[in-house]
Amino acid sequence: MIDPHKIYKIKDSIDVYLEDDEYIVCYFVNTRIRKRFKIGTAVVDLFSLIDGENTPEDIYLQIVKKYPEIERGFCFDVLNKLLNGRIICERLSEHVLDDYYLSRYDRQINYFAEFLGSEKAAEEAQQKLINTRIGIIGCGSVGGNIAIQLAMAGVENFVLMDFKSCDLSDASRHLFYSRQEIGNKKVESLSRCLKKINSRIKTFISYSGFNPKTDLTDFVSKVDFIVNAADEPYLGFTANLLSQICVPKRIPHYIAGGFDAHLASTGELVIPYVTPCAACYSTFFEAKLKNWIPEKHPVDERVGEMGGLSSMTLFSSSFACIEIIKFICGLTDIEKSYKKRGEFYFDGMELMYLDPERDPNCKVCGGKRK
Amino acid sequence: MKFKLRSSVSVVDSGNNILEFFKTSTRQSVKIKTKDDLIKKLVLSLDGERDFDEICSDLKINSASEQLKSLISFLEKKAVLSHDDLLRGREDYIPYGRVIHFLEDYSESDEEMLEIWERVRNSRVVIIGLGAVGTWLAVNLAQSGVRNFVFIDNDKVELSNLHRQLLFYESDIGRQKTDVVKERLCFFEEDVSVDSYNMFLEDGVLEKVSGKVDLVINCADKPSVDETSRIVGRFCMKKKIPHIVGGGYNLHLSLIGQTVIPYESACVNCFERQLVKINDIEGKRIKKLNIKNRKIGSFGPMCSLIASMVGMEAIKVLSGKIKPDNINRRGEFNIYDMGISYKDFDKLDDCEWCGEGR
Repeated sequence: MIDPHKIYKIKDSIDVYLEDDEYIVCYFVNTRIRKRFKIGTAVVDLFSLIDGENTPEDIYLQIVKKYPEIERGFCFDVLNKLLNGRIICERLSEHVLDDYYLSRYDRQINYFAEFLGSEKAAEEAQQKLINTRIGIIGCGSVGGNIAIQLAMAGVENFVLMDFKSCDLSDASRHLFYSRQEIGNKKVESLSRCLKKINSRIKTFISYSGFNPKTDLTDFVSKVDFIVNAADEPYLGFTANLLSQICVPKRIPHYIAGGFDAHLASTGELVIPYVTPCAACYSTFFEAKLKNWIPEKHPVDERVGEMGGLSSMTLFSSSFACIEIIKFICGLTDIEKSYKKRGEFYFDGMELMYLDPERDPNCKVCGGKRK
Repeated sequence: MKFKLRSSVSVVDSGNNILEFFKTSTRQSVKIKTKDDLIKKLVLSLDGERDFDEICSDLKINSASEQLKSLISFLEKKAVLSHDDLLRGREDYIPYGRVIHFLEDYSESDEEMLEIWERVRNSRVVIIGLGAVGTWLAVNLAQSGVRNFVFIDNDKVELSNLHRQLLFYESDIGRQKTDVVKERLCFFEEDVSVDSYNMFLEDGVLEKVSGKVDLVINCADKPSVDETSRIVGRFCMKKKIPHIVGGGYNLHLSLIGQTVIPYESACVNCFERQLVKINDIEGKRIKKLNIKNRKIGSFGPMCSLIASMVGMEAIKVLSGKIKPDNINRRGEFNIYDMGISYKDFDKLDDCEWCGEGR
C-alpha cells in the first residue's frame, strides 16, 4: 500500500512512453517486459510528478489544482496499481550499505531492484551477497570463472580447493592464467586474482583433491554455498560425493558444467529436498543412457586432446552465476523457477533443457520433505 | 600410414548394425551402417601409434580393399579419424591444443584443421567499447588464439565498472581502459598486437584504423547502440567486413545481437527497418517521458553470458569455415525462464545499404 507521506519514484530501469496520447507504455529495459495502460491526460501529469521528490499527498494536491474533478481516492488507486505492478518504488531515505559499496555496486543494486520491488530490498540483497561464504571445489576453467564472477558481483569470502598447479595449457582455458603463474598452485593464483579485483576478499585455501576419502568437515563449516567444478575422475562422480555430504546438512550447492564432455552445459542448482540432487541426476542419466554405452577408446590419454573454447566455459560459468545470485539474493522464487540441466549448442546457438525429476527413492534426498 | 580415432570422439554400438561416432565437443553425431563387427574392431584399434596395415593384417582385413579405403576416407572427412602427426611438436600446441582440437570437428582433414587455426591465429579483430561485453570478448578471443586486436574506447577505469567488466583491478582505477586490456592480454599471449584508439565511436573514427580487419564487433552504446551500430554497419558494408552487433549492455542487457556478412545476410539497415515494424512504431505518435534522476541497472553475469555467445559467433566468422548462426536473426535471453528466443529477419531486396535501393 502507498504511504501518503513517503516519497516514491519511477523505477530507474523503466522506460515510459506515451503512445498516441492515450496509452502509457512501461518498458522494463532489463527484462524486456512491457506493460501498457489506457490513460487520461491527468495520469500523464501524475506520472511526471512521481519524481523522487513528491509524496503521494503532494502529487494529489498538484493534480487536483489542475484537474479539480480528480478525487484523492483515484490518485492513490493509480499509485497503488503502479506500486503493485513494480513500476514505482519507494525512495530510500536511509541506506543499508555504506557509500563505498553503493558506488561500487550501484548498477547491480539497480538491477536487483527490478526483481525485488524496492531499493532497500535490493541493497539488502547486495549485502547478502557480500556476506555469503562460497566454497569452490575444483579451481580450473569453470570453477575459476565462477569464483571471479562471484567476486566481481560482491562475494567477499571464499574457500578454494584444488590440488593442481598452473601450466602452459591453461592459457586457453583459465581466466586467472598468466605466464608468471606457471608452476604455482591454482588456488594461490586464483586467490591472488580475486584479491586484486577486491582487496576486501578473504580466501581460505585447501590443496586437497576431492575424492571419497576427502574430509570436507572443515571446508563445509566455513561455507554457506558450494560450487562443484571438480571433474576428476569425472563430474558425475564428484557431484554425487558432494550431494551426499551437502543434502543431509541442507547446504545448497551448484554442480557446474562447462568442461570436457560438458562443454557449454548449464550445470544445475541443488537445493536440498527441493530440486533433484546429483544422485537423482545420476539415476536419470542411467535410465536415459542405458543403451548408450561408449566403447573403450583406443587412445589412453584422451583428456589432453579434448576440444573446447573459453567462450563455451564462459557460457556455463555465467549461467551458473546467474542462478547462484538469483538464489542467494532471492531475486526470483527460485524454488519454483529453478532450472534443470540444459545444454547450449555451439552449432545453432540453441539452449535445450533436460527434464529430470526428484527421485522419490533417491538414497540421498528421497522420502523427505522440506 | 597411421590413423587415430580422435580423442574427442566416443564410439557407441547402437545395435541394428549402426555404429555411432559422437563428437563430444560439439555434440555432432556421425553414424555408419555396418554388418561387419570387424569394422568396429578396426576403428577401435586406431590409436595413432600402430601402422594401419599391421592392424588390418592382425584383424585379417584386406587393407587395400576399395570399400575400406572409402570408409576410412569418409571417416576422415567427417573428422572422426586423424593423422595426428601434424600437431605434434607445434609450438602453439600446448597452450592452444584445446582450441585446435575443437576446430577439428569442422575440418575434413588435419591439414584443413590447421588452415582454420592459422586463419583464426592471424586474424585481426576490432572491438569497439571495452565495457561489460567488450572486456570479456577480448579475453575470450585471445584465449581462442586471436593475436591481433584494435580497441576503440575512450573511458578510464572506474570503481563502478569492476562488478561487470573483466580484467580491471582496483589498482587500475583511473587508468585508460585500452592500456589495461592490452597489458592483461599479454598475460595470456606474449605475441599479442594491440592498436588502441582512445576515442569514442563517431563517424570517421573507423576510417582511422589502418591495415586489414577481419571482423568488427560493436560493444559500444554511447550515445546509443542504434547509433553506434549504424556507424559500424555503414563502414563495414563499404569495406565488406563481417561485423557483429554485440548486445548485452545498457538497455540491451539480454540482447543477442546479429552477425552480418555484408551482401550475404541482412545488414544493420535491414534489421532497423524491420524492427520499426515489429515494435509497431510506424504511424504512431510515441513520446518518451522524461524521468528525473534516472540510473540504469546492469548485471555482470548477464553481460558475460551474452559475451560468450558473441565469442562463439566471432570464432565461426574468423574460421572461414564454420557458418555463423546469428545471421538474419537476433535473440533474447530471458533471465526469468533462462531461455533463448530468436526473431528472424529478412535481407531486404530494396535495402538502401545492401539491396537494389543502393
